[in-house]
Amino acid sequence: MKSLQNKVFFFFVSLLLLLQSIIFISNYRATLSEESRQLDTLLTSAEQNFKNQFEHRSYDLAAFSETAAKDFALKQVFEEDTRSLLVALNNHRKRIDADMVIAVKANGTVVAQLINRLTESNKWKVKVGSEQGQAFGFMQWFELDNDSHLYQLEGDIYQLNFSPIKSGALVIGWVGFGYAIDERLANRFSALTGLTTNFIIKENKENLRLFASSKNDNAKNNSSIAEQQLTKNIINQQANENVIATVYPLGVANEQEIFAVMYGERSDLLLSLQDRWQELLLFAAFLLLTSLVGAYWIAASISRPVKLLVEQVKAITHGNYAQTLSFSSKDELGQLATEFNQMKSAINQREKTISHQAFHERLTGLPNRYQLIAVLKNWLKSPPESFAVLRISPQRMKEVNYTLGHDVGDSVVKEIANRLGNSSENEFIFHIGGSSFALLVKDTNQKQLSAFMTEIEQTMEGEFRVNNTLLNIQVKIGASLYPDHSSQPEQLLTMAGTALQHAQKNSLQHMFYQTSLSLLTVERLHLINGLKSAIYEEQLVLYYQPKLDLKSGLVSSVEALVRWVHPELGMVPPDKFISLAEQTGYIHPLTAWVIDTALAQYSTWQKRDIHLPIAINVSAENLKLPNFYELVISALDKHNLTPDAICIEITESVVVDDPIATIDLLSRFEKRGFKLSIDDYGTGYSSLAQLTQLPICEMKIDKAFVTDLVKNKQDRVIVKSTIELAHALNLGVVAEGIEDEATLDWLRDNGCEKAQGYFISKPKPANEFDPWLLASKYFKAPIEAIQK
Amino acid sequence: MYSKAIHSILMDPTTHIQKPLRYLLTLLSSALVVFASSSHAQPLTITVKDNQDKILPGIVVYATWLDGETANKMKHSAIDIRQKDKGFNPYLSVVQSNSTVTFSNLDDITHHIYSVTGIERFSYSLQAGKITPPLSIEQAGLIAMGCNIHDWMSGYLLVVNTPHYGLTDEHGQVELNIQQQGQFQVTAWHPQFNEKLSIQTSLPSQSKLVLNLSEKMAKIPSQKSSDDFDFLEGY
Repeated sequence: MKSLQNKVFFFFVSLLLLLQSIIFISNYRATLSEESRQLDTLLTSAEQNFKNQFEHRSYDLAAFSETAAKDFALKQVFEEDTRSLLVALNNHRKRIDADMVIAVKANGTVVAQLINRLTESNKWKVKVGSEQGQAFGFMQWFELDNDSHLYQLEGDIYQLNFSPIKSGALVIGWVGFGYAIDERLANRFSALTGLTTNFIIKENKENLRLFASSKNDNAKNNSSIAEQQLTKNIINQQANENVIATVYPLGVANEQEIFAVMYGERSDLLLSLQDRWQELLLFAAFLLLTSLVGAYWIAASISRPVKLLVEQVKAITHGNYAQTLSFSSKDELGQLATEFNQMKSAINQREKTISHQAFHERLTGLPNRYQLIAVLKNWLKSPPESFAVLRISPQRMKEVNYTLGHDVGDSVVKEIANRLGNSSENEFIFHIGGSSFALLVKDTNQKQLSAFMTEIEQTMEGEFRVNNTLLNIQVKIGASLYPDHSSQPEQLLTMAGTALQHAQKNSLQHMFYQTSLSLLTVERLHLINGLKSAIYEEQLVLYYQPKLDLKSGLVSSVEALVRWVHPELGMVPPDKFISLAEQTGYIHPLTAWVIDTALAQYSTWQKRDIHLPIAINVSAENLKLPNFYELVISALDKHNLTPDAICIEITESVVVDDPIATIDLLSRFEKRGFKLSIDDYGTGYSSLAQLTQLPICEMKIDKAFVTDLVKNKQDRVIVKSTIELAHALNLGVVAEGIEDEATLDWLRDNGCEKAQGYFISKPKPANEFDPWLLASKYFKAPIEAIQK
Repeated sequence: MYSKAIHSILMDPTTHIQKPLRYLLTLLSSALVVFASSSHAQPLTITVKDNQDKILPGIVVYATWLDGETANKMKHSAIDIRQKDKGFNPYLSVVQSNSTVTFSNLDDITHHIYSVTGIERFSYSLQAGKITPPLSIEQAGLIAMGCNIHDWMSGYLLVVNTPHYGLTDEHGQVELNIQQQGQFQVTAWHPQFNEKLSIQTSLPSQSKLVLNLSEKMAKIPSQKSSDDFDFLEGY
């Protein structure tokens, strides 16, 4: 339940609880300190009050006793008549409602003592005190300045003040008035302060006697033992915490200390505060309740639109863009809803764009490869009777891109798309990346398709005009057929691709897929993997084919041809692996191996006094190697041979990529003394102008023109004019592919310098070549060689 | 504040014997300054000094004949105690028993003089300039007087049982002309004495006596009101 509503709810509740806790705690603390402050104040003021009251009584007593002592009538009867004195003293006593009056003569005799006390019948009655006529026990009091005393009589304690009675300056006695320290005082004070007031006398160290209490009028009878105990505890500071008390020492009577103990129970004293506590708790509870409701309301009001949004988002997740949020509120959530609606339509728009882009090529706007796959898959659910997958790719687009720029390339691609036209009911055009296109053609057969492909080729024949540049673009087409070739859509596409590749490689306009194409491809991969071991594990063998000097009729040189004896595939012809070596970079170690092996063979022959320069085929890739020249020289040095040992055969294509650098390199070879020969003349596209710049000394006419020369007049024209051209350029001519004597004769008659072909000898490994050579009519062996 | 001596001498004579040691000391010290008296009926000069050896004026000195009764031989005498400037004048007076005493008000206001203790108790409301009727005093003792109107006023009249008495003059001396011969007790008294001061001597061999207090004398009441009576002006 981690919903937003709950979070908001809990957040607010926690916040409010925290706030309330803080308020409550601070209130609690304030109330506590208020409590102790109030208690302090209460106790302090109670003590002060008591002190005031007690002193006030003393003052009253002192003032009154002085007044009484000055009373002449009293003086007159003081030494004369005890009865009159007692009456006079009682009159005085009544005036201030004193509880005791006492008169002491100068000689220390108590001449009068009256006590007003409560009888058992609960009436106040005046009686003569027990000390009447006795000696006064505290004569020392009269020598002190202090005239306020505590006096114990018959178990009661009195607060007593004396004044001297004088005859002139002569002191003839003392009169004292006293108030009892009793329940009345305790009650009065208790009513004033709200504290229980007890009076206690410390009779000895252990024995404390409670003699008056505001709480219990019968305290004197010890009926309230608990009260007595509590008071004792207070004095001994052993009372429990609930009791707060103050002890005020009143003084000493008969050498016994007397205390006023005022106390209250905390709970009683703080009744009003407790009411406040209840208020506080009630308030807190009310706040809590309202805040819970409030928090719930806030949480709900926040989460309600959010929930709506969540539902909308879920709908969008499932691709439903139809709904629109409508919020009446203009707050942030309302804004959010508006923004959300805009976002939704924006997403919708973008999704359309993206999905269009995902299935269409941007450049041409045509459906792309994914769309093609999708369509194919769709078709295969309920397939048409037959259909074809065509892959169309323009030639030399790389060159266009690199030399004229990608803009031009793009324009060309667009133009191709234009010329392919629009998809129709039976034809679907796809742009599957780069400059590659694909077509799906429904309900067709191989024958119809051939015509269709020719039609496409014709459409592309017209010149492409891009930025005032005219380009001739040739397209190659590969095709695969359903269900003839495969029923798998991606496989069909791959097959069409394979066919296209084959068409490109074999300079065919278009090509249908054949099973063998795929096998070739597999074999290719196999060969690529095996190339490395071929070079380094001596699976390669050099074959030698003699070149016959037509003037002398003798073998004048040989051409070294590399063969691969594959451990599984057997003999692999060079046209199958040389191009692989060129593509993979293995051509460099391969050529190095050929040179090294050829030079070793040359040395071997040389030792037998056989001088046969060996022609070595050098690939265009070799010439691109920066230190190729040095490599060849160091190989020569290694075998201690001179450049006339080898003849470097190159094809016309070497000059195509970088003519200047190539011509420069070849010139270095020529200057060093190497013979250079141009191979396969007539098959490439090199211009005569370029050819004349090459530092070659020989030209080899391709066997395609030579083999059928005798039968084919056109070939004879080509060969004858080539020979004439070569001679005009001061080059020698070698004809390849001689398969009969007539051809040989024709060539000799027409001025061709050298001939090569099966008629003379097919290429042979060194161990077969030597016996052949020695036995050949074309070889005039030196005596040493024969002897060996 | 209160005089112990007054209590002991006048109120409770039995306490005399409580302090024999002190008397003995007094006797010894006095003996040092006693000179031999050669002539008969020569006046006896007595000097009273305090414990600081300072002469004390206004002290009652009286001599009691220890060998016989003198009371019946005493002739009648009279004394007047005046109230002047709201005070008893003199503060201390002495008279022999069987005398009369009058009080004369020399002030311009009424006094209410009284005594409520001792041998004579009286109460006179005495208007300005008036004299009371003579009051007979039969027996010896002390009369402590006060004024019921003017609280601060106080005066003493010591009544002695001998004709040989007097008050020390400004030199602290008193001269007693004693005819009898034999043992006498010479006593000096003042309300503010804190001790009993007396000495026994035999006459006429002695002519001069010095009585020295061994304790400090209490302060004599000033008989002055602590309040001003300005509020009475115009009445």
